[in-house]
Amino acid sequence: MNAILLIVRNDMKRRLRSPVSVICMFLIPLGLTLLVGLVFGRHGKVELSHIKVLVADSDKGIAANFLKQGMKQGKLAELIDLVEVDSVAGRSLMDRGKASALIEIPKGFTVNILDRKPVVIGLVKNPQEAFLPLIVEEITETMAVMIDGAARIFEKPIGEARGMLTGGRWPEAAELAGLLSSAKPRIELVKGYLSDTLISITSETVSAPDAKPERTFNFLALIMPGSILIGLLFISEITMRDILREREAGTLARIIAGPVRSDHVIAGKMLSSFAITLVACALLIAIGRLGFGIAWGSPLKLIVHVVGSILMCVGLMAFLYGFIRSERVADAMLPVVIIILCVFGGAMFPYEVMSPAMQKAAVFSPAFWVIDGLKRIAIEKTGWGGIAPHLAIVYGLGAVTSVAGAAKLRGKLAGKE
Amino acid sequence: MRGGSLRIIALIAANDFRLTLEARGVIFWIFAMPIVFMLAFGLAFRGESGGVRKARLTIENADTGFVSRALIDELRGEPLNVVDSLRAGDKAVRTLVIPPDFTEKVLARSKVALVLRKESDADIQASEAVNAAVFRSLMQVVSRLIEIEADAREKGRGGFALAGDSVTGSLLAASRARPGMLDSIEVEFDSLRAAPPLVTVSSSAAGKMRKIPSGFQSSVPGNLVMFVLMTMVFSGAVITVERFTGVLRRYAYTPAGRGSILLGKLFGRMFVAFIQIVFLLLVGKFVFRISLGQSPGALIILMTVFAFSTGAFGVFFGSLFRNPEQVSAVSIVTTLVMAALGGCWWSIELVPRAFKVAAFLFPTGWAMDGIHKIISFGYGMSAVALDVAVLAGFGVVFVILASWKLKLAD
Repeated sequence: MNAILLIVRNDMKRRLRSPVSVICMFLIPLGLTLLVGLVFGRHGKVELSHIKVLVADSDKGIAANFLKQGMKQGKLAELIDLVEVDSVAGRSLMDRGKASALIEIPKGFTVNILDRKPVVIGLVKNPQEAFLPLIVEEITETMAVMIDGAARIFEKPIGEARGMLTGGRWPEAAELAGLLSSAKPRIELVKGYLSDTLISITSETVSAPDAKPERTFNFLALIMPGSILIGLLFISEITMRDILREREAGTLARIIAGPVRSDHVIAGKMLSSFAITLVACALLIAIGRLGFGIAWGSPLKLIVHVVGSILMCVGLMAFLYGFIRSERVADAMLPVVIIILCVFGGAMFPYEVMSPAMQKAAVFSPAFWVIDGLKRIAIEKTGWGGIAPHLAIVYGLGAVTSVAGAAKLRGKLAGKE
Repeated sequence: MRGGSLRIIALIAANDFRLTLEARGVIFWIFAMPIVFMLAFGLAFRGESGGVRKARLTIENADTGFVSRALIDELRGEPLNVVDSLRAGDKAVRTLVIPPDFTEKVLARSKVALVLRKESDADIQASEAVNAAVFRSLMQVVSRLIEIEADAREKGRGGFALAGDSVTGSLLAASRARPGMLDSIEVEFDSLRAAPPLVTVSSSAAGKMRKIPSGFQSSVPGNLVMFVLMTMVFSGAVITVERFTGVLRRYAYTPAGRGSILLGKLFGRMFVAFIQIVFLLLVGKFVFRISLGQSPGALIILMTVFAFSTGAFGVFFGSLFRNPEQVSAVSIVTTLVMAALGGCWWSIELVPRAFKVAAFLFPTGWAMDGIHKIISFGYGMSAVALDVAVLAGFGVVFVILASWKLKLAD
């Protein structure tokens, strides 16, 4: 036991003397979380406001005005920055990607509606943008439906008005009164159906039976577990690499030539890797709490899950190093394995945004069980039952890979390979 | 530059190129990892940006009247995945609940509430799309009912009258007063629905292409830029390693000047990056089936100049540090920051204004801008001239700085 502790102490001291590589790996999760936090904020909400929309109005009539004014009302005024341009300038600006969309109101738009001829509103979308033009498209289509409906409902009064306006004279007061009188029932009907919210749409949000009540949500709590796992895997990888490096340098052969058994060396190396990774993890969790305001949930559950996760990381690395012969191969293989585990386990982008097929594949990556467990503890404040499968998998995998890895490494140190 | 210097540069470049391709780890990072990332990001975000994946709406209709049926028909015309009944194991993400007396209440102009129920984990964007679609469908149904009711009133049917500021009578009252009236209302409604819409919206994309990028079309360019950046910045870090291990000092005993060494190293890596660019573009085109626009040549030129600018940046970085571990740490953080802020990870349209401006402080921002002009807009070389010029400018500045800072030995 003393020999194991001596190896651990020696490794820890050496890491303290030359901490750059561990610090570098430590910076990755912090950098990732900080970047996402800076760009999207703690709530992770994409603040959609002031979408630049160009409008080229070649009509200048009442219907065109209705469309433009409609986009300047209420919440739409905050969402959209409507800029009037002529058609040529609008196209030119769009071809340079200077706005999210261009609405083209054709010449004769109003007259054609009055004459009940079909009209088409042109919408030119910025192909460089994926989301904002879709929002503008939804809004324009809704406005088109409203104009269409209004044109149909007021067809008769509009027809009468059209006759007066094209007659080349200003309508008489009596004609105007008649017009208003004929339009009034329809205005009242519209008012009845729409203004008095005859048909209301009530929105309800429900949770699945097993879901926990919603709490104040910190978006970074969704991001940081994945980032932490990337850091943990890389830190355990570089700390476990000492076995390979010392074997190549001949240091291990000298140690084993003494009274220390190869079992002690392997146990010492795995324990020191575990300790260094644990310290790094504790620091990351503390920074997450103090720097990013992440409430990690129950400390006991967190500790139990984190210990299992680090055991799994170290065991996995011991297992992989059992098959790796040189640092060159380790350089080539291990980052690739780690990145693939992380990408498909939901460390690079949250599981929640993955497509259904990716979500199904994610459960086969051990990374998923670490990340999902952390999220359940931190975000859902789940009970032991909620993380029981996660604990079973990380501890089980940790134990199996540690034993198998140690056995393989022992064979390697004994010179069987 | 004399022929001798050019020969030395070419020799150093060829040697570096050979050494790079001999390292199996580098091969994985240059050729295999970008494909893994393109695949994962493309699959993860497929449909989200391009609207390929339609929002699902389950209908719970307790009403037997024609108004609810008409509303559902309208919803089916919207870009939604409307589901009438759930299969075992299916989860209703969003549900529109239509109450039993919906048709009667609408025809009577009595207040009635539709309930749009969504699960707490339902995608917010998709739910907003559903909200808009329900609103539009409802508007269409209501406008037709108003037309029918106004006509009925004008034709003096069913006891409609204008009393003060409201219309008395209703379609329901009319249908109850006259047998068969409800059927005729429904027939009239259907004939109005069959009429082509008066106002429609025709969408197109700006530029020469006609497709909004999504899925792989979006993940391939971002990962291409990020991995070329990694190739070049990390190859710059090799300068520090070679100085640390004394390899660079050996050049001092050769006729090669500092400038030749620097350019040789840079061009050697650029050649690796060039092969990487062509390989990944071919993978994008033939494996992920993305469009490379109408000028693949311009794309290769843009990316090669990007490799030059980031390679020069990497060499400059390599000349700044003494310890390989330090430069490795800084390179990782630098590539992450440059890739994220330059728009390789997420669509730049979603970030706050300050970050949109900040993107152009990095070569990645200019590269992504140029790529979009070629791939998304379908433009050629002239459209990306500014991007290429700025990237080349970055490269020249970094080469000058690197040649100023580079030392062959500590």
